[in-house]
Amino acid sequence: MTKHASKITRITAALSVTTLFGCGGGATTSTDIDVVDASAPVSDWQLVWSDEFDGSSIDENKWTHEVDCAGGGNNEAQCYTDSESNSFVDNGMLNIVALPAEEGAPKPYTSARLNTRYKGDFKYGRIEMRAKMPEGQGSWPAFWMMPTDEVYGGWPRSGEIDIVEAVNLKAADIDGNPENHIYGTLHYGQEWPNNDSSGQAYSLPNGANPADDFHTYAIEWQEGEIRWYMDGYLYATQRRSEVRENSKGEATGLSHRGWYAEYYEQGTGELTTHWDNAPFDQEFYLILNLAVGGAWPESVNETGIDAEAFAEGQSLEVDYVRVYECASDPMTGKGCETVRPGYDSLEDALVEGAAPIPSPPSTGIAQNLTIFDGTPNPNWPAWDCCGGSTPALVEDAEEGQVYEFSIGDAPTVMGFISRSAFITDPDGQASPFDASPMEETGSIKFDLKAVALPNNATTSWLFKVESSEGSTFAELPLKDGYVGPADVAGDTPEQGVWESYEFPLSVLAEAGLDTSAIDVIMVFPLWDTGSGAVYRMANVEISQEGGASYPELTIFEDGQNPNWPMWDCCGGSTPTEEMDDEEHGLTAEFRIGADPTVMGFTTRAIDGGGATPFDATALTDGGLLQFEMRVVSSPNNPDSTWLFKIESNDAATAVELPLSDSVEGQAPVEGEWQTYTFSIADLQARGLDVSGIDVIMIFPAWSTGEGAVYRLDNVKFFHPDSGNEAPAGGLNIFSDTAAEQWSIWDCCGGSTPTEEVDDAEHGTVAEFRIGEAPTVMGFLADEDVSYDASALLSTGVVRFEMKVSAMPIDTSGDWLFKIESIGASTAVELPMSASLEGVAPVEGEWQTYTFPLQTLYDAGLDISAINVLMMFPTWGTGNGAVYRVDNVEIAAQ
Amino acid sequence: MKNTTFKKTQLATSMALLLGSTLAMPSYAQEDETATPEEGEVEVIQVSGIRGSMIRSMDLKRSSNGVVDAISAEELGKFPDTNLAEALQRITGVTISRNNGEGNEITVRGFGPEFNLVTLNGRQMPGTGFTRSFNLSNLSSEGVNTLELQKTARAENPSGGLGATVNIITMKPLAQSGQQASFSVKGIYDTSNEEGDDVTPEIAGVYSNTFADDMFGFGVSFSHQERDFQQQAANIQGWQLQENDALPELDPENVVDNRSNITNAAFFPKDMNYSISDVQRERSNAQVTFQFRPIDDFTATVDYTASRATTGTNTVGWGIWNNFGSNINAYELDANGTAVFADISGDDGSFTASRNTTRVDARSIGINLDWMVNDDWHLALDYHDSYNEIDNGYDEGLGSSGQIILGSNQLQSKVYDYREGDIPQVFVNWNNGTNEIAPGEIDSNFSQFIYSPGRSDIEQLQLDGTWFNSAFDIPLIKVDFGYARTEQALSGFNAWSGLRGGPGFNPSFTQIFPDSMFVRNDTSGFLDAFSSGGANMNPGYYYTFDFDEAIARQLAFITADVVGEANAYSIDPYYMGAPSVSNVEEITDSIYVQTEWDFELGDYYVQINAGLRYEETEVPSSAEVRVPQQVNWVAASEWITQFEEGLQLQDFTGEYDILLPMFDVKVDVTDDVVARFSWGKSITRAPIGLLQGGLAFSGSPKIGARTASAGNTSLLPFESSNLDLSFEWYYDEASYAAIGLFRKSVDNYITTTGQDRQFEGLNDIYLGPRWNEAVNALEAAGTQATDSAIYDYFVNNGYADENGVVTPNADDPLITWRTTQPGNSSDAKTVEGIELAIQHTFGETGFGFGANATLVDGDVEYDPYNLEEQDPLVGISDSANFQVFYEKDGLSAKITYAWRSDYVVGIGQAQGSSDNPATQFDTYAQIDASINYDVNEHLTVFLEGININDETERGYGRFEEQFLFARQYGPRYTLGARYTF
Repeated sequence: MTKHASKITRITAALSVTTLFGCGGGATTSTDIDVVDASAPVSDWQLVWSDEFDGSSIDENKWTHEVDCAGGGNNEAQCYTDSESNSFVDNGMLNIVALPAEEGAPKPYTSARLNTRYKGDFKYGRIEMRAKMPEGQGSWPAFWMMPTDEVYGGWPRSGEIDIVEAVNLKAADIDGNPENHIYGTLHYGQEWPNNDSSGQAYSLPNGANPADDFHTYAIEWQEGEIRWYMDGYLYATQRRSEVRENSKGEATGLSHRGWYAEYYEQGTGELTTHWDNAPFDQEFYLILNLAVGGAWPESVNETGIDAEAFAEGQSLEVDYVRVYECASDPMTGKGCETVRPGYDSLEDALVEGAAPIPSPPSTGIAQNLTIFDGTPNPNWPAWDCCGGSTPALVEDAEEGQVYEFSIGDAPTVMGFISRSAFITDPDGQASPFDASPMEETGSIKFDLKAVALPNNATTSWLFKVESSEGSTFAELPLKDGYVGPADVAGDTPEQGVWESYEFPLSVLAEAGLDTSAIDVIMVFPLWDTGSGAVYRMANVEISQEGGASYPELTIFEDGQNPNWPMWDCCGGSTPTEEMDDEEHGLTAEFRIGADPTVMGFTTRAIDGGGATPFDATALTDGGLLQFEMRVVSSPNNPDSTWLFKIESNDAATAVELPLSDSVEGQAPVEGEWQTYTFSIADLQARGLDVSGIDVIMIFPAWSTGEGAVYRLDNVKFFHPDSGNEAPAGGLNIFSDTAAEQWSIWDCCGGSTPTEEVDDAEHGTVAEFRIGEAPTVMGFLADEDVSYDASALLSTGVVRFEMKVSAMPIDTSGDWLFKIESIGASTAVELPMSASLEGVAPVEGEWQTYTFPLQTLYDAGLDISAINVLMMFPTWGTGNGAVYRVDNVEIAAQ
Repeated sequence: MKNTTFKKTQLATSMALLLGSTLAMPSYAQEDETATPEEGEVEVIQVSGIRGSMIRSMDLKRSSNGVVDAISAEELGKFPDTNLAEALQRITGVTISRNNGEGNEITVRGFGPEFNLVTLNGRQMPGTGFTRSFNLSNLSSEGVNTLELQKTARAENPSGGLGATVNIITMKPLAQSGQQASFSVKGIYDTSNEEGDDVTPEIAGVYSNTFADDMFGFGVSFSHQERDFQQQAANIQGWQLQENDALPELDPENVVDNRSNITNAAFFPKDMNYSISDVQRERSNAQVTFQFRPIDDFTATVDYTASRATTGTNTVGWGIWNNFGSNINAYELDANGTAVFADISGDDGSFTASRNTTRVDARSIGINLDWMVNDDWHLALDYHDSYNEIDNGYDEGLGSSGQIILGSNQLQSKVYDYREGDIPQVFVNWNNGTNEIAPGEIDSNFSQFIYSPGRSDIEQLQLDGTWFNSAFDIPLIKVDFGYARTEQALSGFNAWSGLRGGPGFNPSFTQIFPDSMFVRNDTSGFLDAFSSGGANMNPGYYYTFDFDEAIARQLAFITADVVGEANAYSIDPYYMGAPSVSNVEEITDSIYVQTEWDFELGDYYVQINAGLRYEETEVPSSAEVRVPQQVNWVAASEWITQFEEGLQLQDFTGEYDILLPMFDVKVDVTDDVVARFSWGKSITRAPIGLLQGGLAFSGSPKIGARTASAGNTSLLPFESSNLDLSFEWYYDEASYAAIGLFRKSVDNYITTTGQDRQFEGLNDIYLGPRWNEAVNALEAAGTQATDSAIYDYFVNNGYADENGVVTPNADDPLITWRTTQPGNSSDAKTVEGIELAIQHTFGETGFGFGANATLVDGDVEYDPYNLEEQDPLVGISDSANFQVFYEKDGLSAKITYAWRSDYVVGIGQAQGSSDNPATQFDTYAQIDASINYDVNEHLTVFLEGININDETERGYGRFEEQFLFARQYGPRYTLGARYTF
């Protein structure tokens, strides 16, 4: 045994405690946050095409010389040749050289332009060039792309991608410094000359001049987005336009204004605007060229062309051109993005495009429009298109004040217009009229008296309506709309007689008019045949009879509707009619006893009703069920909740909701009359068959109602647009306390804003205190709760009162108001001084701020789903601010 | 003295000496007179191997007072199981909990890890981290001679083992004269491993030698083990009670309601997630022991024990998250109301990567002086200073435990389906129209980084003495007595980064992750031990991504400029500020006296052991608290507590004392049969977290909500009265049968209770003179005295300042605060059970077997149909072990089977519901096997298989259908060789 001793000693020594513990590390995980350079292109960019220019000549399999003297469409001063003096490969570089042309040449310079069309055509990818730019006033090198197949039409409908351009490098700029900018640009949109473009200039932060050295220029192009890089730095991002939709899926504008395309729709053949990936979703080929002069370079810097600069030639030297494909998804080019923070921010790299903004959609609520009824409508001035006259307001013996149109020798058309270019009244603004909600029932009406017929008395008279700046129109013989006073219309208006005309909107729509944005109404004798005509117009309106004709049902209003008696389901009581206060008079009183029951109104015969179920189908767009209730005494059970239930077709469908889910969002308060409104659309969405409503119930939750006494009044179904009912009363978000389902809110500061008692006038108000943590504060609706203010669009405002108790320490910020729609899908932020009151907060004073919904809507807010309102000093500058807010509401003005 | 059939082996004898007075000494003391090893005449019966281990274990059991079970090393450097917890589960009444498929903590007779005390050579060891329980998996078995598990109370033991006290006894060099050495090399093949090495090494060695004629002894043992493995799991974090009125009204075609056993509620899963953890663990242990024996009667021992376990874990996960309400689109409920199918809108589906490296370091240095003063007196002094440190910040580059959650909310609905199979399925109806999200659609949700180290220190001094009675002619054999002081300190904190990157998917950051960062994996091979696992899973795919790259890209992009300071991405676990540090100290002084009596009663030899232990414990706790100054009334319904500037350091001290009597009777009924009766009290101290002082006052103490909460430094220990009855029949050299009955009745369970307290200086405007004045005035005016009206009265009468703030006056009454605090309840819970054991060897055939079973019953059982919060006894389960072996001619083979019935792990689930449902563990049965072959006298080769039946773990909530988890580890095999010199 001992013979092993020394060996063991050695082993033991070798495996001392230190050694043992020293071998740790094998099990240790190791995180390396520098494992990738997030600013570098990812490895999934796979090279698919390149020219390293390592050969001895230009590779004809890759490049085609364009040989012409066309001047590039820009009045450029060069002829492009395939001469080796203008383009050649040398020492691993492609050289494109601009040289003075020989005497007598068609253009004063020669140069080269190479493209890869049909040899290298690409859709999506990373395209990169390493090059050194030429310099001098008049130099215009470019690395760019044009559409291979021009699928969407001629330039620039099928698009153009300028990867990098530069003009006049090293020539003096406006400040006398050497020019050092490069440009990345897109061209797209309507046919020349209405073409559009958008792009971004960039210069290296160290001021280095691209003509001094080689730099890499690249784009990454994927479906819907193109990004520009110089030496790996992303300096521009451009995107397709995104159409903004409201919660109903209607286009209301653009959430991003980017590129667009306009092309003829296959099938219909209509020229249509497309806010989508087009035109940058087709194959493009590469172009490398060096132009001399042309509209752009010659008009900037030192202007013109500096012949000296080209005396010895100017060279665009290209080390390589490489095209990579995003292997993750070559079909869309997505998934390999090289991005940095700010690349998608309009304040940083994101470039706003030039797409037209779609007109807001119909609110769906029909409103009558009076264009002229004796008083001029500042939004709809009377108008002479082309005759140079101004229609005159004159006193008419029959109609009082009317407009008189006189046509002279110059051909013209006349009428009323609502386009900004023609509105002179400072109070007026272009207000294209949305007649689409009444397209089936409404019409355009006016009265007309021909004071003098045109010299050509038999010429025909026309009626024309346009919408959206003339993009659609309808033109009909005037006599088609004749309604009186004679039975039959004459071929021309009868001189000296007021005649009435009415054109149904449906007929106009049929004739091609988009009724959603009517902006011109014209009456005139046929073009160039009207000379001598004098005619008057009055009572011009777009309307439907009696406003809207919506069904209505009053269930209880100062007495019960015998078809809809008061009803106690199961408690055995008989609800009674009781006198309440002066305002309410006779009301329906319900008393709940020990037996569990529900109560309300029924029309079911078995329960004593008149068997007249109510069909609310026509009310689904904006119709309401509304009632007022006063809880005389609450149920004994304090945990009871008040419910509303509505049934149809003998309870085949039913919806039950807490009263606090009403539009007003409030639960009953004992002793107070409160109004509860439910939208028919909402009830329908929750499963109610609205075509056969036969019971409505209001009650404390089953078997918790004992002791409850409550009164109901003014229980009715109606549409706010019919008759004189005010639109839904808006939403009181904070007044003494936050509305049900809304709360006072600190976004990010970790504080809990409190309710504090202020002066007698304001009572309990919301107090916000901002600490060191940057935050915004305001009022937030519960998850999935939002307010649809669509019905209030034209008349409504967002209003609140605010008192700043302490201004922020940092005074550099502004006081801002911000409002968002659900999921922050849309938001509008405005300085408080942009309110109607136009004032900024003053410390210690209660001030009111009012923002019209129309303004917010126009600025991009989806008003159909408002869920956050914020009042705050500019982000990060709020520390120390203490302020109180009260009476926050969205209301009809 | 009557020496029965006890066969003394060299190992046993030397052990008796080494243990000093603290443990096994008494029963051997007499034998010292007749045969001490120092006399050099000991007959060396070096019975090694399985049989030897069994004999020694049996002998220890037999000779002990009280109910003691033991596991003895088969030979130097070879323990029956490589994992100490797994070894302990062979003992009747012991069950283990596993972590990563390896036993780490023990439950004895239904009492979990916190109720059991682990001692190393009689010394109380610090718990792992901020807990009292000791993680046995961090200690290797080499160098361990014996594991002793004491189920009955004993006055001389350190207190704390309410369920049992486990003593780990290590090798001592002077136990055996001369040089001893054993060295082993193993390769561990873990079948589950995917990412690490398929075969990982383990080396271990033991060496001891004596010098200068056994005056000096030196011993060292070490082991180094590496293990790479994978854990696959499916998890639900909790089941949410949905009472009937919370269920949405749905079209009948979307509802299947089979409820019959329960009709008022339904249960829905909060989430469903699947995970794969690749774990690499490295464990090093070493112990060095020096002994000095200048004279035969005096031995000094100095030892140093160190262990370090480093575990690096990379986890990937995927799953869904649910909230409930009207977004439930369809469901199917079974008879018990459990949703076995649910289609739920909203929230998200996610892909997660987590990583951490946790290191557990334990060090212990100790000195032991043992002096046999003369024939009548024996004295021993033992001191040690030990700590255990757990630190999850050992990932290089992270310094914390990190979790990255990516995913998307672009979904229509998520479908949970557990109508078939043994793990639930989930799939997402993504907005892209399929059940599979595209890499380009994966977005940043949030990441979090947690750093939560914990440390536990124990310093302990024990003085023990024994007086042997030769003076009085009474049956008193000896009196043991002692004093001990134990100082324990625990500290820990939890630094949390917060949800970095801003939770949610708005704004969207899908574009910052290249598609190539996501690797699509299919589920074949995942949880394939389950019928609905593996390739049968729907939708059968998951994405993984590179942890480092996901951080790098989010750090580069989700900056404060982009999302604001509050949401900016950071890996700093201190991003939300420095965490408060928890500190708890416990100082215990104890004295004990214990007597042993031997006499013959009729024909029976009777041994009685009676003792008493008295302890005084002091719990100083310092806490940084906010001190309330006054409570202001600031608005009709708003009351604000105004605190003093800054935090105040407050000291709280709890104190209690406790008396622990014990009494054992042992009767040798015949030469082969031993009967025992034991009664005694044992304790376990309250959970550390509840012992922290400091009263936290509500900052918004509205009327009816004047609340404050506190920990309780004066929490009394759980106290158990234990009754044991045991019969043991030792019918052959290595064979016995035993039956035991036990009953434990535990007091001082902890409940949180409220109490009304007042504090000087905190006056109440409410019901003060001004208040009463206002009420009287209002009522006189016929106005209802609401708080609004009273407040207005205050304002109108100038009782409020310009800001409307009312401050209290000195003549206002004191505020009555409802303070909640954990306290000891008077409820007692009782566990009783029966333990059966048999160990049998078939003569010289080489075959043998061992079997044992424990049947336990508690008086407070969990009722799954009861929706109220319940407080059952947790951990109670039946268990059984079976072992067959063959050992002859240098070949040995062993198969063991360990079974544990289902049991309640605890009350509450990770994503708790108001009804606090239980977490239950399904029945578990594992088979292990090993073969040893002695190539020659020195060299043994062996093959071991752990969990060769690929047993999986499953847990559930109220009912088995309320799936909570399933885990799969796979078998692992070890091939090795041991060389003994």
